[in-house]
Amino acid sequence: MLKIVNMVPASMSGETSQDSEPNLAINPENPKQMVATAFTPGPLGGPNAPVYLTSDGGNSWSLVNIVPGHGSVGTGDITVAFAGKGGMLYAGTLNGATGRLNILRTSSPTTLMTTLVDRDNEDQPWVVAGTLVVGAAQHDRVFIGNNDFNQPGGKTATVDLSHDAATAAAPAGFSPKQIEKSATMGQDGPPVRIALHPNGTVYAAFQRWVSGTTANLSTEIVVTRDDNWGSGATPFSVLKDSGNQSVGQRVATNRFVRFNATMGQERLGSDLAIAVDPNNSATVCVAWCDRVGGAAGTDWTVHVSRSTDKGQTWSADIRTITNAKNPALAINSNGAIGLLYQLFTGTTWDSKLEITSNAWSTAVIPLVLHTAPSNTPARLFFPYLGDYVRLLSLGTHFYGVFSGANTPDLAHFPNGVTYQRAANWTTHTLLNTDGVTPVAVSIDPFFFHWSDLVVPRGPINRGPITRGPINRGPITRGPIVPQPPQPIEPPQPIGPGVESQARPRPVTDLDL
Amino acid sequence: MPDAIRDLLEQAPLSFVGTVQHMGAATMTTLAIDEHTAVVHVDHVLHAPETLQNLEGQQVTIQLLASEPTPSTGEAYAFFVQGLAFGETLAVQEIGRLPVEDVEPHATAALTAGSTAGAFDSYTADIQRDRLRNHMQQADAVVVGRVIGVEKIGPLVQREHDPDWWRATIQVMHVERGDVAGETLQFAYPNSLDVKWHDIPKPKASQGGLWILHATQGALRDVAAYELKDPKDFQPTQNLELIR
Repeated sequence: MLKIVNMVPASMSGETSQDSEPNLAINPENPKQMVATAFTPGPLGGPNAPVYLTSDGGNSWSLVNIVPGHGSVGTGDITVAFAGKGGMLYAGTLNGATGRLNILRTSSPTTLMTTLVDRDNEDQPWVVAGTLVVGAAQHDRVFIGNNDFNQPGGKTATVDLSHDAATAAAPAGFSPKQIEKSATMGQDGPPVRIALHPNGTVYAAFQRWVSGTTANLSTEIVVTRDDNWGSGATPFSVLKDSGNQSVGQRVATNRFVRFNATMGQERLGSDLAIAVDPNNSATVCVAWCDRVGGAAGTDWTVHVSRSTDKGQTWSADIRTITNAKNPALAINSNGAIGLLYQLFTGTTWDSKLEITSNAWSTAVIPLVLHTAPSNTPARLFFPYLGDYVRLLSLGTHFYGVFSGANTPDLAHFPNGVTYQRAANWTTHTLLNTDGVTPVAVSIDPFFFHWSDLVVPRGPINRGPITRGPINRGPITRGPIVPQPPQPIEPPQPIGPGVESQARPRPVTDLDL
Repeated sequence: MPDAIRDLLEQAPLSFVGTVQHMGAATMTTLAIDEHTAVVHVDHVLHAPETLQNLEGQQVTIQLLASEPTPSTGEAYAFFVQGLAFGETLAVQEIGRLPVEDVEPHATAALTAGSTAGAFDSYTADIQRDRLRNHMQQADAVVVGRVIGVEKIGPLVQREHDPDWWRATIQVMHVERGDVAGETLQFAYPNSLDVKWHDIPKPKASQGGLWILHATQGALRDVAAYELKDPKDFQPTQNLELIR
């Protein structure tokens, strides 16, 4: 079963923001509750930026303003994660008003988040959280990969971590740990990604900028590991490179990157993902991008590599995809690897999901989540789609988010989609809340949920649901006058609002 | 009373005439409900951003101010609000309310003129002008000039959110404010199209108008005395009148 939902709520049908760079958190104790983020400004402004919230498993989403700091696109970089137990939500942001790194938490995703850390000179906070249970006590272990330019020696790959983040006053135990231990050309790349196993094994991957300039970078992909939740005086120092014995095993070396090169209307340079097998902490996968063609090349290539010995040795590429970005990885409880990425065909951006039970030993037919012309809409800023997306697993399920053009055209969604915002699927026109006024195409965040549950049904012979303009004439009335009190009606239950736009979709039955 | 309207408009991005339909109820499941939570029918939108001007006829949830009298169902007010949550419907936080008769002349005039959600257009225009005036008065220099050159002055972009500093040279036609001497003036600006910097003006060759400039700080001072750092820092020349 594959479900795809445009996350923009019905009441925001008139919005035209570039809602790029999405992220996602699932409450593992209540998977119907999820929080997602994007560069989405608060529709009515205010001091706090919004997050997307669902309490029905992603079928419907609303926006709630709970993130301190609101700029022209809401918050800056933001990622989110729920604790393993207790329901605490954590976020790492670049504050929309100040640009400073904020580490935030809230016990309820409808309540304003509390700022735990506020630090300048940072980039790309990436949050992963778990909960360690000791007797009756629960301890939220929270890890925030970030590119910390305050670190000495140009060794900027960093993880902020707390061993008990849920209740303590700010900074709630958070402190930065430099995980880069080798020389760089002056800094590491922006992405520092975390993979957390329930047994306390924590992997952190980063992009080492070894030499060159940002136009011609020689880079390495490095994985570090901690075997006890990041505890101890020197966390993330267990894994030594099998070549030079420095901290961190190099997965790939001498990889060319032209930072800030472009592909279509998008910029490139920050692509990295890591995932650990929830049933075997020794099995870990990494995905990254580089330019195989070197300085003379034009490609941007996704690579996926796997280790089955806790990151000490790594396979050759088990999957390679040319001209794609934003790889995101997750491994489900069956050991199946999920890979989400966005492919540039020259004329379209295609968001695809691949799921393999044998590490691509046999070919996988990608599920096309979305395909849309790459030149529409025009870019408002970088990143056009985002410097990252996110893929998560829970049990056998995969959940993810990506951003793309929101033209309501069923040809863009081969596996179906549900829109909350108003649209005419016949004329491929977005509509405002009045169901009449056309709205320009923009970039929206999309949620998807894949499960191996097969829905036994035959083809549904019906066409797309279309909604035409609401035929109402001009409102004619005189001056507004106060209305007399009306009889009190009995309270009504909270009812459904605008009908959703859905189409039948083919049954997905992957053989895992 | 006009001052009361203006005071509310300074804080409220949305206002409408609405009739209270239920107390202690909400139109969205994600909201906490208490005795100050009301379901209100939007009778008429008074002012709103473009994306929310079609609220008329819809039900919204208002978290009413605890300090204000609790309205009865069936009562109508002009509500001034800010956003709380946006789902199938809207939830807003009350900033203030006025009797309907206080806003009725404005709403009627706007309806007569065929203006959608335009009851307070003159107020909001005044507020925007005042904000721009304050912005100019706080600037270190305000000049009229035409761009005669732009050049990159910073290193290669190292980070996603680097500003990518460039420097513009303008031919100065008029100095309205600031200690500016000479026929030309240089200022720095972030040329990056990154999400952090994209809305700061990017001077183009021969572009003429009103430049609102701010003294540089730190290392940037070595390459230019002034910088652009706000989306409002380039204006049409006629806005010069605002600070006269």
